[in-house]
Amino acid sequence: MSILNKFSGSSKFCNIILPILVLIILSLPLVKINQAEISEIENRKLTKFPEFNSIFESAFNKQFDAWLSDRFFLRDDYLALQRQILLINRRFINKKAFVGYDGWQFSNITKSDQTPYSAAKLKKIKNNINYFKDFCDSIGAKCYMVIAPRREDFVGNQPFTMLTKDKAGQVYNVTKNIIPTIYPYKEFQDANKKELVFFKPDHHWTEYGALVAYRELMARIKVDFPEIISVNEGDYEIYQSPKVMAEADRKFNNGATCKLLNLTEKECLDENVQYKYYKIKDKTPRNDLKVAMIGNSFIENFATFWWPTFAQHKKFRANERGYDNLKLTRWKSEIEEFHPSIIILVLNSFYTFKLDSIR
Amino acid sequence: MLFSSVTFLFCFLPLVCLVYFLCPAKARNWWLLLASIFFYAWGEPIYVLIMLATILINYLGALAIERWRDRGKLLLALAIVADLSFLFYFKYFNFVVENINALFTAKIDFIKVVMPIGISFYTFQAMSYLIDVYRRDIGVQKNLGKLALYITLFPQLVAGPIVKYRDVAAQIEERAVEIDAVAEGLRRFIIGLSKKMLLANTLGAVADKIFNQPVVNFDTPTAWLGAVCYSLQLYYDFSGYSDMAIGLGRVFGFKFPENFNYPYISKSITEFWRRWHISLSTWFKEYLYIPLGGNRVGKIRNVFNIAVVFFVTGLWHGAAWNFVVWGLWHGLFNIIEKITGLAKKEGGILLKIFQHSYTILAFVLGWVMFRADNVKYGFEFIRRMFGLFGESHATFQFDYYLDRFEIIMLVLAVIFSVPLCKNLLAFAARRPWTQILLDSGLIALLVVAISFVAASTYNPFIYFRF
Repeated sequence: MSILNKFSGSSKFCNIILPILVLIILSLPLVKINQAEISEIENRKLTKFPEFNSIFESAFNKQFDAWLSDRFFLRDDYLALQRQILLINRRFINKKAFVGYDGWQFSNITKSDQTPYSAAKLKKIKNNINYFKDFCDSIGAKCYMVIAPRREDFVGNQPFTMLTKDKAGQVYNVTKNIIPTIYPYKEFQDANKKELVFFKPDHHWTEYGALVAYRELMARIKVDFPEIISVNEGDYEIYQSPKVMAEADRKFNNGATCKLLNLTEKECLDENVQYKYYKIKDKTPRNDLKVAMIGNSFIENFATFWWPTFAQHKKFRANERGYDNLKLTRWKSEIEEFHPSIIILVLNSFYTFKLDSIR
Repeated sequence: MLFSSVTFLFCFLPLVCLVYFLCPAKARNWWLLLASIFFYAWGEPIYVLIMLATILINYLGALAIERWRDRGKLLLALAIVADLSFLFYFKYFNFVVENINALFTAKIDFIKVVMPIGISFYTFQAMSYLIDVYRRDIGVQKNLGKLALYITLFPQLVAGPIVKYRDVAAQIEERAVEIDAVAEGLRRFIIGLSKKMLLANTLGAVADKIFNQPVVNFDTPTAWLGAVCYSLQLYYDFSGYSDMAIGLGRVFGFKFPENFNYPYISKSITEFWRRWHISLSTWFKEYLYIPLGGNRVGKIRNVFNIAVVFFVTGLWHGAAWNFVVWGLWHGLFNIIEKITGLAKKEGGILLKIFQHSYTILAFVLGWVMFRADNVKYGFEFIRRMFGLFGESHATFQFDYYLDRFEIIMLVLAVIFSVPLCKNLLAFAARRPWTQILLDSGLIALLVVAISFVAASTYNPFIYFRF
């Protein structure tokens, strides 16, 4: 064979086998290309094969790299192998997330929470909250704001410390003089001694945490609406699960941060940790008032208590379907048409940076 | 295209190898040339024209020097100016403008330009060819394709080693494909890829976490951790790439010169530069230091020559003052060693410990400046290393930076930075059963390295990304 003739002077069996094995290993990933549209594990659309326009454009090349990186054969197996190797770690750090002490998991956006808002930023937030209040007044609604405290303050001893007071506190000090703002920091501290107010493998508050915030908000709303009836724990069947439910689909999962870490359920969840969940016994709404709720994903667990409280409610989610801002113009006409009596803005400490996008 | 990318590993390399081994010997150079140009154009579809222009300038320049020897110096100067013009425009123009604006409060506009990958490497490679032709160290290459192959050969195109034409001229003309060499090359490639993906990237992630923070955010032990991890990251990243380049060269029948020789065992900075980025230091020695007079001049002039070489060495690495400071830092130690004779001193164990320790300290501190975003941060970092920066508000504790895998990689990085494993590998290669074990280990290492390449493609989102 001409191929063998080209190879002169081979003296070792290994020197023939090694190149063959290397060629097989390097060629195998092209044997089959993953045709799926979406990656459930990574929570995103997989890159499509690019269109070729011109040899002078690097867009095709970059897209091709991304396409192949997303779809080569055995990709999941290689990812699983790397994950197995890194399981010797206690903190399983990757670019997106890390595991702290006692099973608490954090996305690397934790780092961005350490710089306080500037005076200019706070001024913009103040102006935007005034704008929000003006809108509420224009349609005869009462507006309120709920800010979930920074999760990192309720996670016990961890391999990091925060330099400054959290941003939620900064925003609270600005907005409390404009619209009623619920910032249940002390209440969370007390409640956290009994039950976890935040999930360990997820950045959201638990339903119990949302209940604590709900109680504080209802106490404030009663000042403006004395006849209003709120729900309480007795109105619910309480059950427990080590899994996370925090999103609009109301399905249990292993947690958003766990997903970033690419951990399995067993690696992610602590069976000794049980989160409190609530199922309303009597679905009859307690009040006739119309309520609109605007905010990020922290709305979802809040809604467990909100929806049985009010007969008519609408939810306006800031971060979904390709959007990620609090621009009021997105929902202005719909809210005007709905004509609610109460509008509530719900977000967590991290998302307060989006308050400069309201106008 | 990067060696550690999915496209290179799974598409480009297998295809190029397959066609190369199957095609007739006469066609191999053309295939490699085509593949190399494609390799470069994949990342730089427009700037590939700059590289091709450089090849043409040097091809014609060398022909002209050969044709008109009486005007050789002028022609050489013109060709080198043309070569360096590209480098100046893409790499140094904005740096010069920034400094003129600062010095004279001028308002010259910056140009919006992205530096072509590898321009520093292939420009220097091309210039070495021209100078060698002028000096009559080599004959001129009249075949444009062969010269183009020398400059564009993809294994060493973007990150060296900087190969001199005379080192590969005979191999370009004729070379055999030997299975032993192919296997040897692939072994080297696997080791290089593993160095990059397992050691360099792991320690680089630790270093990045530290260096990406203001100095006030970490304490002295963390600063030392960052400095040490960066020193090791840089070594394994660079030497890993060189291993891959040399290994791939071997696969295609080329023998490139070594670029790293365990620099971290050096007993002096002088010795360090005989072991670190050898192709660059020999380039500067041959084409800058010696023409300036080298050490065959008076002491003051010799010191000046050393300073110039290290100034330019620093600048070659990057268009920023921290690189210049780094270069001059090494130049300073070189000069001190020359004056005191420290580099040549032989003595007992205590002297050796002192020499190693001082050398390690010198290059680690140098790497801090090399890594720093600017000179100010570099000095602050170094002050933090010696507890001279004031109180720290440590955001992340030391424990956060080093997990078990990172500790293992750090220990392995230190172990592999000495020739211990090289000797073990040489021993293993002599016996059939140990060779089988070694190759099995290398195949496993390749699979692990690829798993880390795959992990770099893992990109999850908390909220669905469209």
